[in-house]
Amino acid sequence: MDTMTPTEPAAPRASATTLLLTVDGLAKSFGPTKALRACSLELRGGEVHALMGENGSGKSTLVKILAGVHRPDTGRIELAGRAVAPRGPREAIGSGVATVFQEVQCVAQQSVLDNLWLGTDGVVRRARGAGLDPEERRARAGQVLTELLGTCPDLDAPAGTLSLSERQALAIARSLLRDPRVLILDEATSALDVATRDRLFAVCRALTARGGAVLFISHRMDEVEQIADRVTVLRSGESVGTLTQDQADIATLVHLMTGGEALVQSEAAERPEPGEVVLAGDGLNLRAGEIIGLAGLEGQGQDDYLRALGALADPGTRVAYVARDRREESIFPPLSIRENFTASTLNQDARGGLISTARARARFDAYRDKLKIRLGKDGDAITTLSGGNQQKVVIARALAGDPRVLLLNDPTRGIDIGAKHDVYALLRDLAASGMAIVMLSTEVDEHLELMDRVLVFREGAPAAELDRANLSRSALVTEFFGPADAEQTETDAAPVARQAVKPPNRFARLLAERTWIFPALLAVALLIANVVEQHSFLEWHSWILTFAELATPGLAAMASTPAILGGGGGIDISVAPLFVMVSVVVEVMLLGNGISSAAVVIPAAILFGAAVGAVNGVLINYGRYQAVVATLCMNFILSGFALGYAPSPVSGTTGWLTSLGSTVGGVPGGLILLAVPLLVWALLGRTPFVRTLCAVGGSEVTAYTAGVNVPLVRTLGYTIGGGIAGLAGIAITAQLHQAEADTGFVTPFILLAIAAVALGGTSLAGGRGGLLGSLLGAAVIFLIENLLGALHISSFWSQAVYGTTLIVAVLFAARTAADFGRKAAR
Amino acid sequence: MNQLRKLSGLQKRYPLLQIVVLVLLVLYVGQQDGDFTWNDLFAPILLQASFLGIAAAGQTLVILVGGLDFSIAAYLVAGNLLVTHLVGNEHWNFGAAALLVFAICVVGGGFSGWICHRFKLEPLVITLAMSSIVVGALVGTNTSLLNGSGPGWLQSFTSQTSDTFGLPIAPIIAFWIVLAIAVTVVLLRTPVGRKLYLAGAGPKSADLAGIRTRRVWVAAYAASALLAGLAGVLLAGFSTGGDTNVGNSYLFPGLAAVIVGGTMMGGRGDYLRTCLGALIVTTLNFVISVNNLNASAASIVFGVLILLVVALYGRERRLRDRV
Repeated sequence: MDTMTPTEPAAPRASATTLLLTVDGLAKSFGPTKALRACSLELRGGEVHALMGENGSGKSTLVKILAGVHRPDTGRIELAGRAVAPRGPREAIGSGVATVFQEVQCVAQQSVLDNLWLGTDGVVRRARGAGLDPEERRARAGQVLTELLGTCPDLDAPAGTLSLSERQALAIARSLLRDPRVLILDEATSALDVATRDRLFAVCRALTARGGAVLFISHRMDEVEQIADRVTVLRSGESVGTLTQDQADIATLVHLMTGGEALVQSEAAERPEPGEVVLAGDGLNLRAGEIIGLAGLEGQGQDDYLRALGALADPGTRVAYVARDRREESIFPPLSIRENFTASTLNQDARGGLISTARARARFDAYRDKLKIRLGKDGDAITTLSGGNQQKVVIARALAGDPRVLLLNDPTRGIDIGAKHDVYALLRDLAASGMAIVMLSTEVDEHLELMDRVLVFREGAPAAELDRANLSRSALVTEFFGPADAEQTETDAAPVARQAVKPPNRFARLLAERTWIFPALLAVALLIANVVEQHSFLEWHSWILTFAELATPGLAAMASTPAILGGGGGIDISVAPLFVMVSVVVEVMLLGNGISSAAVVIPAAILFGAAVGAVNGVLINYGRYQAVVATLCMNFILSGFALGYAPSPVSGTTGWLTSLGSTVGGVPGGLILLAVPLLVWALLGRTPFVRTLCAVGGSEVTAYTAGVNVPLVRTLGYTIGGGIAGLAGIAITAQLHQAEADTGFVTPFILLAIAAVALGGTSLAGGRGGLLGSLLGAAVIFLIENLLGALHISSFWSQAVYGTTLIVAVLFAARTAADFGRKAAR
Repeated sequence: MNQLRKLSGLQKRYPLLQIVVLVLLVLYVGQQDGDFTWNDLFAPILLQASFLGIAAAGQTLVILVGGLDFSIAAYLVAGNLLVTHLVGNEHWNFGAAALLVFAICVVGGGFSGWICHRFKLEPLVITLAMSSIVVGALVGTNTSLLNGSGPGWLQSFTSQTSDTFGLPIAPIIAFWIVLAIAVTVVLLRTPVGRKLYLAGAGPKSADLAGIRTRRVWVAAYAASALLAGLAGVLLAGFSTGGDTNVGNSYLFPGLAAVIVGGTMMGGRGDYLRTCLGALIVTTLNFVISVNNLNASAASIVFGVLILLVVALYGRERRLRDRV
């Protein structure tokens, strides 16, 4: 409370008693569950403060409140003596609180550099200030990454090409670049290899030496011991005590976390001799009753090794696998606990072809007791359980298949100590009953506690085997870096991990990054085919005609693109009725009333389109409608209005509109219309907007937590798309000199626009692509139809050919992207 | 407050709001007509909803598994054209013609599902492309497809004046009810149905749990095409002569029925909800017609009403809850 000025204290060490962040009586409920009841915490300048607690104790909720993601129901937060209530991540970061979340967050498609500075800029305005011009950004990015990784990865490579550990470091570096006074690390060390983690600790110490503070959340005792000055323990949403480093021994902490509930350590020794070999090969002879550990620095091949083991087993041997990423690879979020449990063994519950709930329940109850799964009803959603209990359900599912071999991929990652010990006890019991277990773990303690043998991985293969007698912390860590000269290699560990990443084929990378190249090649080939078939195609008057006819589909395709780029299921299927509505506005309301000046009509058309696009954007991003639903309704509404004002085609034109349909000053009008959005988009590309939109499309959660105003960026995307649709309305009027609102006329354009976007190489999942590709996609479709027309093939066949081309093109684009991704993932 | 929570919990399990909306709409139509008799109010709604409900059944399956099927209209047209042509012009046996339709649907739909899953392609684009291919190739080979006619017995099957074993409902309605029960039992009570939910709720998890998700995708898309083709065959009795546009009145309204019913991408929902959705969408059309609104006003009212209905229960989670 002593600092009245929020400026950084000058003397580093003297600030150790400065209160930087005070949390007082924070509470937060989600529906009926009280995630946080009464949490109080004091973070002093110059300290690393650890936060511990079992899963479900409210740590993550507290972190999300501090990060601005959630708002507390009651309680107050003070930052350097001033009350704060961040309304979003951007505000929290702006006030000096930067958070690294548990899940590794990056936008895989974008460069390391863009990832690092994501969220710094405004929506269209680039952030300015000291250290923020492009050269300085690059230099500072390199510096921070080097501090964390030992070396600096290629800043222009897509972030998806980095290893998991490097991506985690990237997320941490992003927070560090925001110059936080308070850095929150929520289990941010779980994916880091040991060397990177040690460098992170050094960076944390440097931050505290400058008077900042670190809130450090981890389940790993050794890390807490190593780095924390004080520890606060949460239990059931309440802060139950703060200990200094010398008070914080494991027994005390566990006592606080569990509320005195003793953790039963099962007897480690009682284990029969290993039985027969059940799985052999690749440096492993797995015997019944054994628990084998897979260890190593992150990304040394142990993961692939474990996944491949299942295939080595004899056909008769049942193998069960428990995946690493619980949320993505193990659970079925909307389904019930019971349905999650029975997923692998559905047929066991089938009675006469029908699933018997009673039978499934009976089977589950047996495991529920055995694994001490704590839950209300087995019909509740799996997501109502804590992480530890979810993992127990997943393990129960694996066991329900009665396997002989159990493969576990870091099963205790991110689960609390109580649940961990339950899992250890279970695995010991299983091994004692003759099951063979292989378990990958990133925790040294786990290997020491549980394993009969440990395989240590280096550079993609098992490099050493330690049996129970030789298993010790130092032996294990020594093997991580190779037996020879461990000190020396430690600093090189991270580069070794990355050297395994072969730079992907340059051509594949080019195709994957410049998504418009493929449609461009296709368009050129089709152009040549058209010319060969029909020489007149090259003549000037046919160029004018071509551009006039291409203008509307080309603009419609471009208009559909920004919504798709923004991701999150973004799509605008109201583009076609919108441009038809605009043409009705132009014909009926403007020309029909004698308003014919281009200076009025064109802006009016674009503004009308942009306004409708903005309504779509607001409905979707602020009203939380699914994009398909909202734009489907807008589709109905616009079609209705268009039909109401123009039940039959309304004709009319004016001087400039007629020339826009042919040439303006010698330039084809269609070309001008098509160039406008491309130019605007290129200009927008010089602002942060396009990059931010693609980042939102690539990973909305990353963008949101990095401080991007996701709804605003996406809404702007829809608005720009609407504006382009307005221009398409001008184009169709210039081409046809009439407005036609018949649904038979409009519907094909809806489908054509989306097909052109996909042909143009834009990923419909968002994040990758651009306007140029969509225009080229529309050109490809146009050229196919033209070519088939010249060959006198019926329009029905040309539809079939166009459908086939679409599939082939999408297939090709997906293959190059997948090729690229696969190479990148290695 | 507590009761409100209970209600929202119940709404997650049962389509309560959908039922309320449907009842209110039906009451409104009856009120406006001043006629609550079976033949003038309920039977016509059920009859029209049955086609939509059958056509939207496949869309429900595909959306549950996490996809989207834009080829419904094409298979519907294919079924309609082939049956009217082969039976009307070529004098084929109806069963043989129907079998040919179903074979085409299963192969085409199955291919869509396979290619989407195998190469991780966007279902929207693939099904769009497949519909161009199916309709284009079909009509391209034989333009006389466009002037056939359906078998006579099919007309009484789908006529409101027919009854079913003495019950005062058209056979098509009875057929729809049986189909709804069958699809629901398969979805909720059999391993095959459960696999559909699992593959939709967690694609990677399902793979790792030993479920062959590619087969599930192939089956879902094949079933979707099959059900659309079935709707097209049944429509052959309703409409005389083939029409390549007949499908368009079922694609977007069918999608609307699924959405209004409350089935969402990735394993949430079931077919009974879609049936409710089909009834709501159909009744909305009646609301529009009792108010003597023309097609344009109808379209606007339709769009606005779906927005309102979906606002009550079908919205996405907040961004901050996805962190």
